[in-house]
Amino acid sequence: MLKKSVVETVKSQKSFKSLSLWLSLCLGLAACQQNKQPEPTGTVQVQIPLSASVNGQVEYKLQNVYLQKIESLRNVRGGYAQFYYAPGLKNNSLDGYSPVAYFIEAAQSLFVPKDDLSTQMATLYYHFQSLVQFSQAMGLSDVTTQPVQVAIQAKVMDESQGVMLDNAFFDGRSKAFVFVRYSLNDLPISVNGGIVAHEYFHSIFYNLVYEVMKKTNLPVAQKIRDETLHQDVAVTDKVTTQDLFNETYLRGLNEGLADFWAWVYTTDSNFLKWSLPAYSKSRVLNVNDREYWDRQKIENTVTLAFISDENPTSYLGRNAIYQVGTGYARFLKQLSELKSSEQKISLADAKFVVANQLVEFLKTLPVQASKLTSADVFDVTSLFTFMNQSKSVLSQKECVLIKDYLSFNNTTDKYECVVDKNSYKVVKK
Amino acid sequence: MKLLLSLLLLIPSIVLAEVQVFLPGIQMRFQDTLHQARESVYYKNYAIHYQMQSYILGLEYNKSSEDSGNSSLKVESQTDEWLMVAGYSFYTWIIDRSIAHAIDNKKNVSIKETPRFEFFLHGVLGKTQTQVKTSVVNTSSTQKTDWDDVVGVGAAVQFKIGYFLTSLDTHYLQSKGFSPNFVPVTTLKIGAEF
Repeated sequence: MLKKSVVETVKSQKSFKSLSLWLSLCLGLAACQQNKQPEPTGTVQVQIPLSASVNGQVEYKLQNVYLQKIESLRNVRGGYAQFYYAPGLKNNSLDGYSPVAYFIEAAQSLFVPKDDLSTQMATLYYHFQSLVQFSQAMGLSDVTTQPVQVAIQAKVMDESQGVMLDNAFFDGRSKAFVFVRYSLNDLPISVNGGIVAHEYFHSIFYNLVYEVMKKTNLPVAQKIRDETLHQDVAVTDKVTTQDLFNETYLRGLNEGLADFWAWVYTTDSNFLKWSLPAYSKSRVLNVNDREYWDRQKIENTVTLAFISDENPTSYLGRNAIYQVGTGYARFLKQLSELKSSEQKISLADAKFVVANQLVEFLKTLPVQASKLTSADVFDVTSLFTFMNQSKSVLSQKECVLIKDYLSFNNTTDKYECVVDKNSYKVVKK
Repeated sequence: MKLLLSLLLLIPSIVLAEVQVFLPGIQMRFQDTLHQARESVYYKNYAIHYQMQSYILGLEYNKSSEDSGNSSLKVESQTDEWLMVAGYSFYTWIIDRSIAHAIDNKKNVSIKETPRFEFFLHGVLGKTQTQVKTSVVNTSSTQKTDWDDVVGVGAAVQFKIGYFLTSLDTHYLQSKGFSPNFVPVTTLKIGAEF
């Protein structure tokens, strides 16, 4: 052993003093932890990407908005939404941990997400907050679970047993909104307000239509089994063309009306193009052709589904569901715009009126289903007739719109618009 | 910040000091990342130190950036940090025994050319700022935090031979701008001492 040098001895004495000082600093530093800034709660201002209409053109911009009822900004958890990161499903509930969101606090207490996941969480929270408030204004307080349960970066198997990508859906079993990983180079689905509103509508449809039909054990509901709305369920051999027709109609209606809800929320008639451009062309809503898939067309497609090599439900999912729905979405959009221009009310007010009527229409679907016998199918014109018979005042142009839809491919019935007190109504000639 | 810098630059003109200039160093911090985990994050470290006998005073600049998202939604965050390090050398280990004995015997020996390890205790004060640039489709916005305080303690060991210098620093820093608020930091840097 080397004998300890003088230098070392002297320095050892010094080091004892400095070590004491250093330890004191450590303790002082540990005490500073109590000075940690409190996490913001309540109403918090954040910067998120939102769509905005500028001169009739929709574009995405960064905007400062307020998230309300925030309990933890670190997890973007609050009265309107709660997030789970890549969760599993346990006893029909999401099972997993809350993802951590990172923000910086900029000037004037503006919280800016520090990464894309945090941006998605803050944006989703804001959309669900707005959609819940919109629904509550329509008296739909009880249709969705609050706070809304949201799975992000979820790992879900698709039909081919691969990992599902670039999709989102409302899961009826867990009553949760599921967002899977987005792999494209466009706007992620979770920041696309139109797609979020589309999925939100599925929860309304599920609660007002499927849940009621399930509770009352209606035969149609048993055959549909569409609890996970985007998941094609294998049908049994006993399924008839009527069952498949009804399934196609209801699923198509669900998709189409969800697209209308997306337009109501964003005023973006091509909201898919930002995230899923490959699907946008066929579902764009600013087409005023006054056409839809009538009974004959659905029946023909159902027949083709039966003779195809694949599962009929899958076949119809690819070849009919969205096509059926888009006609109804375009009809409701035109009705809203006409109501705004003809009755001199704002487009927002007109949308609200039509959306309210739509909710009332949804409530009639389980009633319609209860009246069906095993050989019956839904009346595909029932949305048009419901809008015609609603209490809302119809202008002549609105009436003509409904008449045109009722008359489309209809060779047996002739319709005309007549004045009924201060409103127009479509009647059979 | 400018005041601190000018004070720092004034010091060598009034006392005889050795200046330590470092090449950009590699710094590793164990902190929260966008991968939903607490893991190592690399920073670039730029440092200049002044050593006066057993005391050391340094100015350091640390920088890190992190990107996430895709071409339509991109979030780029950048952290800039200025730290002032004050340290005290509490132990020097001279590898060459004969030199050590010569010093013990109070012989006038220069240790400049002999390889040695010098151990320091550090106190750290500074400021940190994070800037976030968010780009959405064709628009972007840049926001930044205020300069948040940073305090810390740590230790360092320097290996010195001639003008060559290498330093391994370990600090424990605290700031409300960090996530978590307490972050262990290790820096490896090489430089020269004049």
